[in-house]
Order: sequence, then structure tokens, then C-alpha cells
Amino acid sequence: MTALLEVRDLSVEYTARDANAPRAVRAVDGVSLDVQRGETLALVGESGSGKTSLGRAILRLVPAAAGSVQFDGTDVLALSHDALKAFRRRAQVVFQDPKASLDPRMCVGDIVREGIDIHALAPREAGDLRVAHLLEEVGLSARDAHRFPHEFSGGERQRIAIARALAVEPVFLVLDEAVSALDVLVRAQVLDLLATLQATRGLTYLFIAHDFAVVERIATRVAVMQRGRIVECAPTASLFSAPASPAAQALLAAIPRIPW
Amino acid sequence: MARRLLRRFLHTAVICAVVATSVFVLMQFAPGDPFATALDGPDVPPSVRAEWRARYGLDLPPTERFVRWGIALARGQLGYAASRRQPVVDVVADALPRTLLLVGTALLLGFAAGVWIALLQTRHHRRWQDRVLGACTLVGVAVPEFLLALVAMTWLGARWHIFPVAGIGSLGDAAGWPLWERMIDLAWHLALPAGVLALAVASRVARHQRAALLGVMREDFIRTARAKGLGEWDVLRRHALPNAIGPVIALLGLALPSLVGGAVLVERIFGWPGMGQTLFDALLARDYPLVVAAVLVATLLAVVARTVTDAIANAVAPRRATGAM
Repeated sequence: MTALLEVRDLSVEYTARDANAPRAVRAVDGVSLDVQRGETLALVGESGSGKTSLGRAILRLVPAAAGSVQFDGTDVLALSHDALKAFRRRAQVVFQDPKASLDPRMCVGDIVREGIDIHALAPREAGDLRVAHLLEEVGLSARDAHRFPHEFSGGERQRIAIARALAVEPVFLVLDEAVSALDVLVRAQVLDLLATLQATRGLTYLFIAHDFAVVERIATRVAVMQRGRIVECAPTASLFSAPASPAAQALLAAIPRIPW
Repeated sequence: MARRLLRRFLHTAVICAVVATSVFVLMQFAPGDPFATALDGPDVPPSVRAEWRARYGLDLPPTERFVRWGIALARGQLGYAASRRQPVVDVVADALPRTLLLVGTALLLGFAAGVWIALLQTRHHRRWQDRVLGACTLVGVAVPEFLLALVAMTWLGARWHIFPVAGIGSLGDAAGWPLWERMIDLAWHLALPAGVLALAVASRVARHQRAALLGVMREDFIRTARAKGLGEWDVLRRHALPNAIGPVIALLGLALPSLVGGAVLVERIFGWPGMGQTLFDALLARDYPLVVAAVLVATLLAVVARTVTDAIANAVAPRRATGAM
């Protein structure tokens, strides 16, 4: 069986405009990785190592400078307008800061509902029902659909962001520092929720994080990034017991010893 | 809510009092009076001058005139417009609807056009469309309305005869036309003055709206909207615009006074018999009561506009309405 996602020699470049002469900054530098169906691949690295850019390039939220991304046998970087829309249905994302990633002018019901409408997944009333189910699935109440994002706590907002991502019934989720902004207790709850959802829905995760502490709980394998490259990729247990690269050793040494 | 309304009302009253006083004081410093042209010639005997000025109370010391005038104004008596041989109220009742039509049309057209331009610019950010439209709006902001008005009048009016050069309606038997024909005639006469003012509004709105949109486009929820599978136009229309339009609506309310200022000149140029034209003539004739009334109407207009645009900005932004951030 082939991998769900195959990334080969992917590079992402940004143009730095601060200087007089614009110059290209290479955020992701020739990265290759595979994500197997049903697994959680954690992408770990210090700030600025290119993990968020990599996640966004895979989803075509930022353009790739070079390389290829194969998702379930199709070339993501070559998708036409319509095919890209179909891809958006199957691959979704949860961002770090749910306060910023949810439209403040929309009520929760509309936020969750919009994806369903864009992809014409349900008629009017069935859609409402689906929104209600989704909200309950992530541990909120169906009544919350009429409230606005600012009325919720950070953890609840991230649950809304997860419900919104799940609304289009994706098979693949990029969790871009999805629990990094949450406090420790809420983080544990959301991680539990993500694990439950993965089990019930058979989801595949690309889990981006900057510290190892959360990764140990959820990841099948871990890829360590440094300066735009993957320096190490190993199953979670073996990486934690015997990190090979200096970058992984440094990140491991930085885990605070807090009992879950 | 009632308290807020009361506060607004008191604010408005204070503003009006300050404006009226300023106008009175300024008019005292300005040379001449209503009879300067008619009476101050060498062939008019001094006794006649004194008699006429006494009849209208112009011989009293300024402080006493101020008190008398203030009391009358507070009672709602706007006085008599000597230059028009009509009560001030009648003059205003005639002219104000025409100005509201002109400014209202310009505001609506300009706002809609400005938002559209900004959406187009944001959609094609940093490409040639953005640059061309940006250059146009810069010109629109920089060129004063009266110059635009003269250019439009010369080319579209006098040279090409597409629109009438001046006036509010066709002369002659136009009064006997059926209603819809008279309305078309009115719109035809409205096109140039309203168009010129609308261009000025559109340029300002577009520049502010573009900046606001570009700010919002950097937000995370825009990335979320794209990830949902929305097309770029829908991202702009459904997520960026609702979050960026509030300040621009509020700005519109603040910009209204300057629009009225521009309308004075535009009305003058196109012979549009509105408040601007009235104020202009009243100033030349030193018709004090009419000047004060015209300025007060403009002031009230500005205050009302601010209240209305605040209310609209609140309505399109439920986040602000629900309070608790």
C-alpha cells in the first residue's frame, strides 16, 4: 500500500522585502517525507525551522518553489481550479491560534457550515443537523452554533476550529501547532479529542509542534526539522530513546518534566 | 440607550451653539453689512443710511445684537432672509432637499464604486490592475472637486453635449411633462454634479478600503477560508470585506462635512440651487440669518451622518454590537 502523502524535494521560498534588494529566503529546502494512512507524523523543530511553511505548501496555501506533493496518487501542485477545490475537501487544517483563525464576524454555526455549503455536501436542514452533530462530536453543544467565537475560551475555540475542519469530512488533517497556544490542561483534553477523532474517523494527521512534550502522546513517527531540512525521521519510541541528530537531542533536553 | 441618545442630543446642542457663535463673531469681523452695496455710495445721505441700519437693528452694539439674536435662535426663529425676500425657513426648505439628493446620490454611488475598486485592487494586489486603479484614486483624491467639475462641464457638457451644463431641470414646458419624464430630466441634470462628487468620494473610500482589506487579508481566518475551498472572490466578499468595511463606513460619516464643503463649489459651478449655492449667495449678500442657518444645517447634517454611520457600522459588525470582547 502506498503512502497517503508523498512529498519529494519540496522547497518553499519567500521574498524578503525589507532590504533594498529583494532576496529569496528558502524556508523549506528540499524536504522529502511520506505520511502513511491512519498514522500521525509529527513535524518538530524550533521556531523558524520551516515546519509551518512545509505544512502550508503541502496544502497549497503557499506556493512551492520546487519539488512535488503526491496526495493519494494525484499531484497536488499541478491541480486545476476544480481539482484543487476537491482536494480542499479531503485535506484540512487546524491553525495555532483559534482566536485569529475563526472569522470574528461569523457565528459558529456559519463558520462550521460554510465548508459544507462550498462543497455542496448537504441540503439546508440536513446541514444544520450536521453542524449540530459536529459541535457535539468535538465536545460542544448544538446551541453554541448561534454564538460568536469571542464568546468562547481558547480550548473551546480550538474545538470549533476542529469541527470546522471536520465539516467537509477530510481524510487528512494538518494540525499546525494546533495545541501550542493552549494551557497544559486544555491541551491534554484537545489531544485526547484528536486521538478519539482519529480512531473513529480513520484520520491521518500531520502534527506540527515546536516541543517534544506533546508529540510523545500522539505521534506514530517524528520528523525533526532544522533550517528548512528534515534532519531526522524515526518512530516516536526510538527517537525518544535514542535521538541521533543534535537537533533532536537539544529538543528532547528541553522537555519540561511535567506529569500528564 | 435613552441615556446615549440624550447625551448625543446635548452634544449636538452644544456643537450648534458653538458653531452659531463662531459664525456670528466671524461675520462681525468681515467688512460690510447687508446694506453696504445699496447704501454706502457717495450719493446716499448719511441720515438715510442710519435710518435703514436702525430699522434692522444694525446700529446696536454687537453684544446686544448677539444676545437678542441668540434668544431668537434658541426659540427656533431663524429669521428673515433679506436677500431672498423670504423667511429663512422657506429658503432652507427649498434648497435642502436638492442638496440631500445631490450629496446622497454622490455618497451612495461613490461608496459603492470605492468598495468595488478596493476589492478589485486587493484581488489583483501588486499587479497592473492594482497599480492603474491606485494611480486613478490618487488623482481623484488630489484633484479638487471644482477642477474636476470644470473639466467635466467643459467636455461632457459644452463640447460633447452629453449632459446639460448647468441647472436642475430643463426650462420651458418641462413643468408640464409627466412625472417619469421629469424624473429622468432631473437625473440627467444630476449626473455631472453628482458624478464629480461621487468620484471624489470613491477615490477616498477606495484608498481606505484597500488598506483595510489588505490588513485583513493577512489574518489567519482568511487562510482558513482558503483552506475551506473558497475561491479568492468569495474569500474577499464573505470574510475580508465584512471585517474591513466597518471603519470605512465610519470614515464616510466623518468625511461628510468635507463633502458638503465640496458640494458648495460644485453646486455653484453647475448652478444646482441647493444649500451650497444658497450659502455662497448669502455670504456675498451679507445675509446674516441665512448664513447662520446654512452653516447650522451643514453642522446638523454632519452630526446626523455620524450617528447614522455609527449605527450602520454597528449593524454590519455584530461583534461590536454584542459587546464583551
